[in-house]
Amino acid sequence: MKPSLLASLRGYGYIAPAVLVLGVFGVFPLFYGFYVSWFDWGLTVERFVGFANYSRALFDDADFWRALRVTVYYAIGTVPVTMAIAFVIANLLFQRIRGRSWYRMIYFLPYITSTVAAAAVWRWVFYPHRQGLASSLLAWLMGGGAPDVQWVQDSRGVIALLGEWMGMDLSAWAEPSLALVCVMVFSIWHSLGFHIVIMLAGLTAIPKELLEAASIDGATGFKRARYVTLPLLSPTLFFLLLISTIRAFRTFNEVYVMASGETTGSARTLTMYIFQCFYESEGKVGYGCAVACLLFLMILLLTLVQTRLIGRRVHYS
Amino acid sequence: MMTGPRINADERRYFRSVCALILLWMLIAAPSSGAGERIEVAIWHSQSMEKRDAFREIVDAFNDSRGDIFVKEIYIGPYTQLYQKLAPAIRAGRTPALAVAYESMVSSFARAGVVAAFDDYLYDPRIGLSKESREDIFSVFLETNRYPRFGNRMLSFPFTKSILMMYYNLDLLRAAGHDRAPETWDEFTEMCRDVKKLGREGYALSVDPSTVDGMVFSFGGEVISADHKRPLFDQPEALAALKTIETLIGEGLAYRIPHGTYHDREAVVAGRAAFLIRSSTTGPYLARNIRKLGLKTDWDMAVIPHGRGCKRSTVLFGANICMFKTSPEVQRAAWEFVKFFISPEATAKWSMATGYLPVRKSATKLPQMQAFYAKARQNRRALEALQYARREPNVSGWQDVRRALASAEAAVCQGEPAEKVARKLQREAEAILNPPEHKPTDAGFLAGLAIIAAMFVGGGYWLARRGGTAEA
Amino acid sequence: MARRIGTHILLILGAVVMVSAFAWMLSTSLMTDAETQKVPIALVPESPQWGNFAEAYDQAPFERYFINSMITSVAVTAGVLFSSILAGYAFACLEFRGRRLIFGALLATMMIPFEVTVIPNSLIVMRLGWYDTYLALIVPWTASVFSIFLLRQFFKSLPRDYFEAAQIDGCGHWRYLWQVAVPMMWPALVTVGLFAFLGSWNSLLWPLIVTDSEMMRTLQFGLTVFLQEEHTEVHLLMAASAFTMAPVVVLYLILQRRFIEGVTGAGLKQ
Repeated sequence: MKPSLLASLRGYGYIAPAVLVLGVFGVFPLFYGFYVSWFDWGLTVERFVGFANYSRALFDDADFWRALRVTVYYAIGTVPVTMAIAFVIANLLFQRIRGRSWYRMIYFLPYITSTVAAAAVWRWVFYPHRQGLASSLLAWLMGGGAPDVQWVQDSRGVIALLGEWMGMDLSAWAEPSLALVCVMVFSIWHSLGFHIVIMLAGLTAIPKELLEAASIDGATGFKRARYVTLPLLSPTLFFLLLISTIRAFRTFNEVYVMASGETTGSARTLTMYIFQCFYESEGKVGYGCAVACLLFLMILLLTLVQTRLIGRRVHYS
Repeated sequence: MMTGPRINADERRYFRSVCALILLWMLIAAPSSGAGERIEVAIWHSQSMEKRDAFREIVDAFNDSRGDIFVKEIYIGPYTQLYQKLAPAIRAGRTPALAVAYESMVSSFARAGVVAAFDDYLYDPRIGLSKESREDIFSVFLETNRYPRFGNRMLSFPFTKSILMMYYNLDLLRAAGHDRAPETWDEFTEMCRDVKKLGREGYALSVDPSTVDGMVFSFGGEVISADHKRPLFDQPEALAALKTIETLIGEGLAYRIPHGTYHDREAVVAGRAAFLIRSSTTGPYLARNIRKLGLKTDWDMAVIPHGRGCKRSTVLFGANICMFKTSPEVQRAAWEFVKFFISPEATAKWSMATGYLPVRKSATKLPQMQAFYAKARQNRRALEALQYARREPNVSGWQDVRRALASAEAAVCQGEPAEKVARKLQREAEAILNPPEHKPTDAGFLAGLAIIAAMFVGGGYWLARRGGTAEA
Repeated sequence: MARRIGTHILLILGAVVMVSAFAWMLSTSLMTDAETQKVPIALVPESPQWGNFAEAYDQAPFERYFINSMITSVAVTAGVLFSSILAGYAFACLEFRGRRLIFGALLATMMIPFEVTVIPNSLIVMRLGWYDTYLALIVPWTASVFSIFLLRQFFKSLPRDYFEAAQIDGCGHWRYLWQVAVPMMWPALVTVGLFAFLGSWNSLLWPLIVTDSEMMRTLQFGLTVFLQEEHTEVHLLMAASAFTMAPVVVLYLILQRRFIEGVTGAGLKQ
């Protein structure tokens, strides 16, 4: 049953402020970017090229495909891991334990600490020449025979490197690179606080009676998490999944601060690639926009798939 | 789904205010205007802290000397930020009179047709520079500001110029049995070996495309053909440069420092490594480190080594100033400031305060400059080496070639064979400098069309049907 | 009991990892210039250089930047909360034509890479004559899809009986929203507000592009002063970062309580 136009007015009124702002500063740039992608575009319009930017990206640019693969690896490597860790920690922090407000503060700190400071710490963690924390850990684990790992500067495949270390030839596995894995670790660390805060908000919003009822029924620990918390939190988790997938595909800062030294492109995500087209190359803005539109479409389709596959299982009270 | 009661008074009040706000947003439009009687010349730059103070002094001196022009220096941030702010400003026609920019940035601006060439002012008999004054400017500084793609016009002017230099810890070299800087790359490698025997590192290497360019020059090579069409990384000179890095890394004589850090300075100052290669502006920072750490390290700098039997050569660094098309009066006023900035006194002051090179030969003869050079031998090294400096090409796409170069250097540092890297670099650079023409008749055209259309139809269908999320 | 201790050990281990960057920042902010360049890296300063804070503070008109950031962030937060509460409620609880289409379109705006939006948006702002004003800093960010989406999820999770009960009490959508639903949604609102504030507080590129004068610049811009072409003043940068993020930490500590209290006393019995 469709609501009448008149009955819809209330809804339109309620969404007006948001739609106005987002329409002007969100939808318009989308169309603008789409428009630019049909042109050779330096800082201003140069000439109409039709589909050329798109066909160049899709059929003639190995860098584009490489950046796409890097982006996909990045999303696969960060989103599920972050969600899982955050779910465990949020559940722990939701319990009545001593000092939980301090824990909450601390777990949120990486998200609010300036990225420059965060990058400096992680640069030290991944410092090469056996001087960083990661190298020290490795030396501690393996004794004197630990290799001199280059971490975030190393564009070789992480699996190939593991194989080399174990004496197997896996050099065909060139992706994902060790550099990219380092970026992922950083990114998980950085965005954990964001996930935890949202999950805590979700947990707090669950009516206490429901959780208490579950406790009376004798559900504890894992069982409680699996059969009570998980379904009750599912709207929040579903939301987080969508949002963090979108964020993973759009990630820029993490890569920029961690891996701008990895010049061979093994950790260059699509947004980083677009950034280079826009600000570090000459006359590639139109092409950058075409890549951005392709990225946009990919995120759109991915979100569609996610809502189809997972959205139905979400449980609303 | 809930169907609420009729629209009530609260809601009506709210709706009314929303409409009022929309109206207000549409009406608020107050373009700022602030024209005084003096012509205002805004200059966007990226000099901060002490360097900005020095720049401000020069600007103030200019403003005090002129009643008709007022120069406003505005710090924008590092170069990427500067470019990010300039890009929309150019689109909106809101450029400043002057901005500091690298050659590749200037090329982008020139493509958009917003750059005013300096030739029109420099050679103007009335307001330009005299022939003697023009010849007083180090010619390489002017050359680097000519753009072959834009009629060889001078689209920018030297601002913060420096050159690639080699720095070395003399104490460490002496301990290894050497008392002077290496002349050739073979000597350099040999000295690194001797230093390594002491248990120290030879060369603390920071990956930088300009360093590779400089090395190719020092092997007597070129990086681009005379007609600016063909990169020359397949030539023996380029291979020799990469081979040198390969040997140094392979024998453990050089190590790569993490990107974005300046740990090579610390390593050389503290005697952990013997050499580093960087811009000539690094000198003051080394001196400062030594002072702050309370060390007595004896160090010096020299032009980078060269290949056996080749002439000394190094590469020119640094940013330039670029003038935007604004109005004849403002452009003219901007030129007056540029002229002031490169006057011997001003450029000498700028050089002494920042470590950049003075742009004029006569500036180096001034008593204050002579005193500065006499104070420490390191102070005059860059000037002595300037005669060997060559410019990097500033052709379209060179910025992308530089990225490929950095990538190649990193690959060699990672143990890939130099020959293979050089071949790949040449291929990439060729593709960048001669981009394939993408005609709408491309083989992929129809397939591309189909894919994109499918994606859009699919996306639109989804938007219309599902609205983004599953309804419970 | 053993489980409790296990939990604590786990959390403390995690906390050490999470607090590292912050501790690093504070420690570096007290080092000398030379100490920051040491290899292997110095973990603590030999003698704390408290003067770094004053020195960093003097490098830019930080008090002005601070005021600007405050005004901008508070206004943005208020705007986001207002527009998102209304829109989130509408998308969750109201029936209107094109609801899914509009929601999907809004969601789609989240999927555009940021770089693409910068140039068209700055052109709009300049066209509107907002260049170098607070309007340019604030208005484009007063709505957020993320917030609308999050609040929509929460509104959807509210038990429906509450609305029906409120209706019986003669309470329409408007009053139900502000007097019943909003008070029940504190955790979500605090989250949305916090992220809106953070986003605005930490933004650099947008304020840089739409402002020109020192009078309109914001805090994050002040931090770039320490990044020079051939040198980074790490110790000053960290000192400035520390006082830049202090307000956010304080804000979070204050809001924290709201979080923990959670939903107390559902607002039905007013």
